[in-house]
This record gives sequence, structure tokens and C-alpha cells, in this order.
Amino acid sequence: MSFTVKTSLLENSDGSAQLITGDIKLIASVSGPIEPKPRQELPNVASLEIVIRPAVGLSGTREKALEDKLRSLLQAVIVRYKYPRQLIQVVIQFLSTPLTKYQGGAYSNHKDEVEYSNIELNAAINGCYFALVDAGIALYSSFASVCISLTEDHQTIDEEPEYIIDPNLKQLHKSDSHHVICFNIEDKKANKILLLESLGDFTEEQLFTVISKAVTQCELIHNDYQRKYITEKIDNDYVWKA
Amino acid sequence: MSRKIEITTNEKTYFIEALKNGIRLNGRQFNEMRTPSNIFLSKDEYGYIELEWGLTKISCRVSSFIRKPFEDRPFEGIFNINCEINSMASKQFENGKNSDEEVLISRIIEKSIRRSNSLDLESLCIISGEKVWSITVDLNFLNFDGNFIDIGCFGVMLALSHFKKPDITIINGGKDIIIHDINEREPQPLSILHIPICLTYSFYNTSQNVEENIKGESDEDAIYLLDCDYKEDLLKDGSIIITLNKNREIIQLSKNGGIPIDVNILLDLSLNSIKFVNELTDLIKTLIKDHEQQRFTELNLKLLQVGADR
Repeated sequence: MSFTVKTSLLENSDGSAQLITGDIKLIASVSGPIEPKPRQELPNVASLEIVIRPAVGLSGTREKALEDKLRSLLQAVIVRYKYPRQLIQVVIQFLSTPLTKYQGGAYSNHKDEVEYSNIELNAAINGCYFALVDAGIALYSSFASVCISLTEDHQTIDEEPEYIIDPNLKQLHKSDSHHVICFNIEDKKANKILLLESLGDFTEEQLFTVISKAVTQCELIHNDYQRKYITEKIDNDYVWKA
Repeated sequence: MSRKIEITTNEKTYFIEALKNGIRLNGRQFNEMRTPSNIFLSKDEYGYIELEWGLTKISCRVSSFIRKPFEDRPFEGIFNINCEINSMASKQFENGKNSDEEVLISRIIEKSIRRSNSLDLESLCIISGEKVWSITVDLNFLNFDGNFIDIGCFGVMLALSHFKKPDITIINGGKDIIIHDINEREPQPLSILHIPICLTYSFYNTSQNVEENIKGESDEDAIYLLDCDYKEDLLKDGSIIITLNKNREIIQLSKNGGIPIDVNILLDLSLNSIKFVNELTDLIKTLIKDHEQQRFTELNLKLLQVGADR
């Protein structure tokens, strides 16, 4: 798993981050707290406006579903009561996805194949984290997300299935199921599950294994990447403060 | 409730006074463009570019797939440009709502590129009436600092020049086709007939007389700026968008309201624009050429070349 992050690259947003992870490249921007439209306004907490834009084509039901999943997660981590009657706008623009990469542009010839929105969700969550931190939005805790796929060898039933962390498109094609797990992180330790999305066939036991693997992975993302990039960012932001 | 930045009268007067003295607040000459910077041409994909133009940032992706052509045009491929603007670019653009400005931007880009036939649609035909390439351009505006039209048009043309579609072979006497993987056979570039370049001039009437302002009788007071930034864009009294190509053809000219301009100014502008059109066209060509060269050496494609180099 590798993360490349650049923050504060858009001047018109309060916070922005570009994340490259695996074959996915995206830009997330956060604006807030700003004045909402009357119909968005909530009397005691901040409302969230989440927009996800695909790399190819116009956004449709798939993006709406992603937006919904991301919203449920962000509602749990943003300290919303700090910004009553305000709006926080989150826009995620996918620039490259595995599908655009593998087909070398002739992407939609394979459009009928399963659309792996879940790995995009994983990247969206991780990208969103950096943008929220960059925008200075109050969060209850850090959060990190990981995608794990599970491939069973159907010849030998008793064998342990193969768990792949951060699978690529080919590995996903072969897998039986894949899961996106997002943990909140307090004091460098993964604490609670914020989101769990699974797709495919799996048993309860396998799911528990996946979750326990996700714990170490999320802690790794947090300690190796999130902390590193945020320290870097703060160093750059306060470069004047000798 | 508009999230547009409002400029104070003080600021506006200062701006106009500066213009009267021949000074632009961003330090540029009146007919000076910002130069595109940080141009990123993707190496592992065809048809993906990112670029910055001042503080304006865009990304552009071209994708292709095969479909049935429209019944009335069996020989022509399909070409579409998507350019939706969202609140990432600037808070003045509302999500999921097409503002007039947004519509204008996409219309002009569409008019300049698609309707000027800059992409040869007949070359996209595979089997007439059965299979044609459909080319879709997704233009994403990431940050707004004025002049989305010129930059968007430049970006789309750059991405189209960068794009290559997979090679195909027709088999079974024109019934079926094989799409060759890009790693198996060298993909084919699109046939681009000409490169349209949009140039936007913003007009400012420095005359204090409101009456004259409306009638536009005082030509000597009219000032025009090329490639305006965000602030200049908010303060403009009118604008004209000229699209030209290197063959000195005017593709499109639009002037949507604003103060009237003199015919002589229009002629001058079109004539002066040629210089910028040449510069930008050459820029696209050199960028693509350098990129091809780089890809050629990095992937060691020389090893795959067959036959004598004539």
C-alpha cells in the first residue's frame, strides 16, 4: 500500500488534498463552515453537502450511493455541533481509477464488468481525511480506511482463504469478496468501526478475520502516512515561525 | 444567497484608475496572457492531462468506446464534451445547478471544438451503420481564477492530441472486429483537423459618464484586457470571445451583451490574436512531440520497430 498526498493545492477551497493510492488518483476539497442555503440549514448542527464526481462521464446513481456512504461516515467524525446553522461542503473528484488505467482510455468497452465502487470508496475516505484536516474542521478522532479482498481456493475447501490488502483490479476480479473497513483512531490505536462495506460471498468467521487484519492496517496507515503528511503540512504552514 | 465575492466601490475605483494609467493589478500588460504551467501529460494513460494557468487549474480526460452510430449519420463517430463545474472550482458555482455562466462556458467550448469539426468524425467510423468510436471528453475545473473558456479549450485540445485509441482489425468480411490491447499493438492517435484556440478579451469602460457608458460613444475610454483573472472577471463591463486557428480562420465569435465595441477594435483584436494562437498551437504541438519522444525512449520502443526507417 502506498500513499502520495499533496495538501492545500486549491486556492478557492478552505482545504484540499490530492491522494494517489494504487491506481486511484483523486482530489478532495472541503469548504466550511460556510453559509448554507435555507433548506440545508439545521438549527443545532452543521449540515454536510457531499459531492462525488467520477473520472469519466457524469455522476449517476453509483456516485449518489458513494456520497451517501461517505456522509454517514463523516457525520460520525465531524464535530457538527461546533458549527450550528453552517454548511460544510465536501467535493471529491476522481481523476484516475483502475478502470481508466487498465483500459488505456478505451475504458467503457469493459463497462459491463463489475464496477468496483468499493475501492473508490476506500480512496475517497482516505482522501477526505487529509482535506478535512487541511480545512481545519474539528474532528472527534482520526480515521483511516482499508480495502481487503478475500480469495478462496475452491479445490481445497479446508484451506485458509487468501487475504489481499489493497487489491488491484485483477486481484479483485479473482476474489470472492472484498471489504472496505474504516476505523476511527484514537491515540494511535484503532478504536471503533465507522464503516463496513462488503461485497461478495464470505462467512462470518472470514469477516472477523478481515476486521482483525484491518485493525493493524488502519493503524499502519495512520502512523506511517497520515502522521507523516500532517507533520509535513504543519511544518510547511508554519515555516515563518522559526 | 450568492457566494460570489463582492468587490467594494473603493476597490473598483482603484482598479479602474490603475487601468487608466496603463497598469493591471496583477502586473501584466493589457494584452499579455498568463503562461500555462505545471502541465502534466499522463505517461501510463492516453488522453489524460492536468494543467495550471495562473491559479486556474483543470484536468481533462478523453475516453473512447465503441457503439452504434446515430441512424441518420451512419458514417460518423460520436464526440461529446462534458464540462460540469462544481463548487470545488469556486463557491460561486453551485453543485448540481447550471448557472448561466456555466452554460456559457460549456456552450462556447462545444461550439469552438465540436461544431468547428476539429475532430474528424468520419475517421471514427469502423463499420458504417454498425460500429463507430464514441469519444468523450471530461473536462474538470478544479480551481477558478478567471478565464475558464480559453483554458478549457486549450486543455481539451491538448488532451485530444494526447489521446490514442486502441487499434482494431475488421474480420469475417466486415461483420466483427478485434480490439487490440494497447500493449499488443501501437494505439492510434485521433485525426485532428485543426486546433481551435479561444481568446477572451474583457472590456472596461473607464469613462465616468453613465450616459456615454451605455451608448459606448467614447471609444478612447474603452480598455480591453486579455486573459483576465478572477477579480478582473468580476469587474468587467463586457467581453468578447474569439476562437481562431492557425490557418487564420475565425471559428467563432461571441459577444454576449456588455458595452458595445467599435468595429475597428474588433478587427484589431482578431489581428493581434494571431500571435497568441500561433504560440499556443505551437505549445500544444511541442508538448505532444516531447511527450511522445519521452515515451519512446523510456519504453524502449525502438526495439519494437520493424523495417527500415525511411
